[in-house]
This record gives sequence, structure tokens and C-alpha cells, in this order.
Amino acid sequence: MFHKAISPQAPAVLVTGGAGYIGSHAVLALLESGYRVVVLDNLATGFAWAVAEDAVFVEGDIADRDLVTGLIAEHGIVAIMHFAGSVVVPDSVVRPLAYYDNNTAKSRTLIESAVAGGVSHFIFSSTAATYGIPARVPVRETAPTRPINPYGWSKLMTEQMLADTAAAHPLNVGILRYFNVAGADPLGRTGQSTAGATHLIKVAVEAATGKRDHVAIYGTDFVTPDGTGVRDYIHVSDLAAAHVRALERLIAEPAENLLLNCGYGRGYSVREVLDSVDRVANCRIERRLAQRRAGDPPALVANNRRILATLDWRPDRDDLDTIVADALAWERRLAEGTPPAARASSPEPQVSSR
Amino acid sequence: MTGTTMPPVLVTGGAGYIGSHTAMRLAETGFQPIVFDNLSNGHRDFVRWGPFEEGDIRDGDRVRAVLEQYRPCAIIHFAALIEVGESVRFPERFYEVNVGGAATVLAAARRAGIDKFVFSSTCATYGTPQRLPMDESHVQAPLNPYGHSKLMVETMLRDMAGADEMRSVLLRYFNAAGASAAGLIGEDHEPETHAIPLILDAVAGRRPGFAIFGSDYPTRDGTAERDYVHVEDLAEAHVLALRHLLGGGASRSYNVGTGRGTTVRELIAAVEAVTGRACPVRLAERRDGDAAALVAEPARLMAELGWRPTRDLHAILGSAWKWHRSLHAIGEPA
Repeated sequence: MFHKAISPQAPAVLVTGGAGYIGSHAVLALLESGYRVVVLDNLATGFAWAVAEDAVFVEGDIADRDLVTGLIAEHGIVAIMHFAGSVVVPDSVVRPLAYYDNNTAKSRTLIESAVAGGVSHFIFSSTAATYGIPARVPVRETAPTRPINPYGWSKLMTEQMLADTAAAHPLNVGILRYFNVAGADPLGRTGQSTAGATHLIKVAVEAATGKRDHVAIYGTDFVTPDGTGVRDYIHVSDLAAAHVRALERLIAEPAENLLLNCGYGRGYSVREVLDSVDRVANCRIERRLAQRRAGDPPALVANNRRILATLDWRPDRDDLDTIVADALAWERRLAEGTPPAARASSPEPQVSSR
Repeated sequence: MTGTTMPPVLVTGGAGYIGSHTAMRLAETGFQPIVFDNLSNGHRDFVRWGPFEEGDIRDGDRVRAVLEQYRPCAIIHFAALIEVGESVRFPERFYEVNVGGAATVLAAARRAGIDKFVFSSTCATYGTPQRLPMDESHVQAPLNPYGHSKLMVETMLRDMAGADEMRSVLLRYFNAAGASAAGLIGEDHEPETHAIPLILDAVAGRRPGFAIFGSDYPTRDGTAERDYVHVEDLAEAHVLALRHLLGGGASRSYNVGTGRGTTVRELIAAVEAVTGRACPVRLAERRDGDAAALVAEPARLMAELGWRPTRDLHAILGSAWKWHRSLHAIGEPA
């Protein structure tokens, strides 16, 4: 495949959590746009093999001040994209302090290192969970933030710290609130690889490849067209591209901060997702109806007008079957063994068949 | 110290203004206060009622070592940065000390098996009052990083209570004021930003006068109205909160205030009456983020824990003046 040659003068970006699901896709997008990339990941849930070859990989902790300020100085980091964090909502309810430590307190230390190192731009991986149960759907960025679990709070606290930091220091911030991220790199270089997945499309493609024997549908009596929960699924590669466009905007408009929903502005129900997986995988996943889970809103869909108006970003893979096909292709690679491809050898481009 | 059976309680920030008064009250009521303070704002000579352990709440190893050594039955957590204006200029400091530090103490407490925590919070977590007096169900929308940092810790503690990780009482102070009747400890901030010590400085001639920030508020005389609670009454609230937790009580949040507001002009007049000296006044613009009025509804604390504010404004100012004169060696007027 074609890589743009990366100039040693290109701006350098530190990507925390760059060995994880979304982070590893952002690394690819940054490299393809000509940025230099340094990945910092403690491999708690990420994989070294998921880091693109052209990135510098450093195993370490975002709260290690000496390490981070050293990396900033050594590589001339101008921007940080901060993905590292814990993401399992039910786990956050059981172990809140662990989430406040890993997501909030460690992010705080990272922000401090960014200020101390003179980093100019900071992009933060936030979540629609900061809205809680929205009164109106689609949700705008101006909707009240009322998280309903420690995960959402831990992210909202980091947003607040960043907003206050941007007001006090010469650094601008981009806060990207993700809706439901799914799919995998269309070229099969990375995907969602962490075991114990709880996200619907991941779980469904695991079922389609025989890793699970069924998929639970939590709640069939929501006030939605077919009674199951509706979510706004965004392809991880489109999301990664949004990060690069957001960075460009922060560089071009240093006095401006960004708060942007990342979604397609359209929702699919659980049944629609499972039907799509059946269709794409040519199988029939067993559905098991289960009770609603506490805190699941009936529908969570982004109003994405702001990101479309602000960034030079247009979704490229805004199609449920495409998302599912890419997720399925990656799942099949994983089923062949982890790591799916040795980092040293260039994997064959895998184009999803639809 | 002879009270070998007095249960130890860790008091972070116990060398500070409110922390030291609470340590005194703990000792008076049968506890052994273990003061943990880095003396960045605290005073070594305010530690008089139990052992002193110098240390920083951001240093998890140090906190753990002190918890191991004393095995306290609970933690009362005061240590924090408190100056609102500084929080706007240096938010990262506030999030580091107030949020990161609290998270570090909480993690150390969990490891040591301590599950009771009294937290020093503030009415600044409410932000602009939607109604007065403010009760605990008032919406919390802080106006500055200081208020946000305190609210974040409240949120952590609420979620930890839900997960049975920690039981806690959150005490939201209104304006703490006054000094211990014994005259050993009192308010001594650097820089001083609180109204009463500043007015006392003005009447004592230690400052050229006192600036009233805003005289066009929608209050009875146009100046800002606050709920001043005597620091000894506030200290008592902490002991009641501690006893509540030790008795198996559930996690709660409480306002600590008198329910009565005093305007700046009323405060000045009262200081003049108590000291017998005139306060030169200068009118200045309102400051960003200052509410017109902040008055507590303390009914919950009174009903559930039996707390009473027993010292009125006259007692507050009398004790503050006595302390202020001894602190600054202020004599009788010539």
C-alpha cells in the first residue's frame, strides 16, 4: 500500500492509547496525513502489534510525568491525542475509584505534562455517555451533561479540566464525544481486539464467527420502532479521520476550542444490527431476549451538524452493512490467531466483500 | 497524651484553619486526631491535639505509611487549595491537589481497609443560587475550577458509596469564620482573601481600608450577602458526621451554615461595634463569579445529626478580633 513519505519536519503527535481500538486507527489516519506519530500505551488493554510500523511505540504510563515530558521534548510534540482510558461502563459502576483514577486522575497528570511541555493542541476521546439519558434525540452538544455512571462522569471531569486549562494556558482543546464506535480498518491492519467485548457489533460478529453461541437483546419494550435500543454507529475509520480533521482545525484556529459529537446522526436498532450481521455473514445469529439493563437509554443518536459545519470531514463509510462487513473481516482475522499479522510483515490488504 | 484508647482519626489538612479547629474538637470528644499536612498553607503550631505527620496527599506511599502506622477508624479530608481566583489562573493545580490528591487518599484508604470518609466540600459546588436559602437538592453547577474540583470529589464519593467502596459524609460549608475561644488557633491565610480578617486589618490600620466589591446587588443594602458560620460550630459538624459514619450511618451530604445571611455592610457595622473602631471603606466593582447572596438551608444537618449553630455573628467577630489582635500584636488604640 501507499504511504506518504513522512518528513522529519512534519508535526509530531503523541497518541496515548495508540495500541488500543480507536487509538490504533487514529495512528493510521495521522500517518496517512503525513504526521509523525509517537504512541504511548501501557498495554493494559492494547496490543503492541496494533501500532503501525511507521509510528514510534513507547510502552509506558500516561501519568509518568518524566516519561511524558521527555517524549514531548525529544520528539517535539505539538499535539496530544488522548485515547488511553478504561471504557467498560458496568465495570465502572462496580469499581468507580479505579475509573476516577485511571481516567480522571491520570488524564489530569497528562494535561499537566502537556502544559509543562508547551504542547499546543490536545484532543480528547470523550463519549456520549456524558449526556446520560438525553431529554431530546438527536442530541446536540449543548444538551445538559448528566452522566448516569462513573465512566461518563470520569470523562466529563476530564472535559472540565481541559476547558479550564485551555482558558488559562496557551493550548487549545478538541473534545470529541463518540457515539457507538464500530467496524475496523478496511485494509485489515487493526480492529477491535480486546477480549470480553460488550459492544453490540463486536459481540454480534463474534457470534457470527462461532466465538459466542448467541447475542442477548437487552430490552424489547423501549419506545422505539421495533422496541429494541437505537444507537448511532460510527465507523472507526471515519472517527479516526475526524480526529485528524479536528487537529488540523485546532492548528489553524489556535484561539478556538472544539466540542463535537461524532456520529452519523442516524440510529439503528439492535434488531437492525443483528439482521445486518446475518445478511453480511450469511448466517443466523441466535437472539435471546433479556431484561433491559439499568441506565440504557432507549435511543442515543447524535446531532452531528456541528462537526459537519466545523470540520472538513465527511463520513466515508456511513453504511451499516459496511461497518458490519469490516468488523466481521477483522473478527475472522482474529479467529485465525492473535496477533492477526506479524507487525514486521505487511499484511495483505483485505477488502471487505459485500 | 494519655488517652491510649482514643480512636485515631486521620485529619488531612489538619494544620489549616478549619482542620485545626476540627482536630481540637476531636480531641475534646474522645478521638485522637492524626494531623497529616504538607504545611504549604497550614501552620505547624496549629497542631496541638495529637501527632503530626508531615506529608503530601499526592504522595500515595506516604499516605499509606501513615495509615499503616496509626490504623485510623476514619479519614476527615480537608487538605485542598481554596483560593477561587487562583483556581481560574492555575486550574491544573486545583485538579492536581484537590481531585488527584483526594483520589490518592481514597485509594490508600481502600488499601488500608478504611471505609469512612468525611469530606470538606463547599457551597461553591452550587454555583449561582436558583433559590435561597439553598438546600442540598439545589442544582450543582460550579462557576470556577475550585468549585468543580470539589464537586468532582463529591461525585467520586457518591459513586464509591453506590459500589460499597466507601461511606462518606459531604459537608458543604458556607462562610467559615471566627476562631477558637481558647485563642490558640484562628484564621491566618497568605494571601488573605476572606472578608472578616480583611475588615479587621482595616479597622486595625494594617490596611488602608476595606474594598466592598459591588454595591449594586439585589440585596437589602446592595452589598453581597453571605452565611457566616462559626468555625467551632463547623468543627462540631465534622465530629457529628464522623459519629454518624462510625454508628453505621449511610452516606449523606449536608450544608453547614446558619440559615441567616449577613451583608457586607452589616458585617462592617458589626465589626465596628465589636472592635470600637471605624472601618475605612472603598467601593469597587463586582468581581466575576461572586453571587449576590449565598445562604444555607441547614435543616437536614440539624434534623438528622442534631447539629445547632450555637455561636452568633457577635461571637464570631469577638473571637476573630481576639485572634487577630494576638496574631498581629495589635494593642489598644492610643
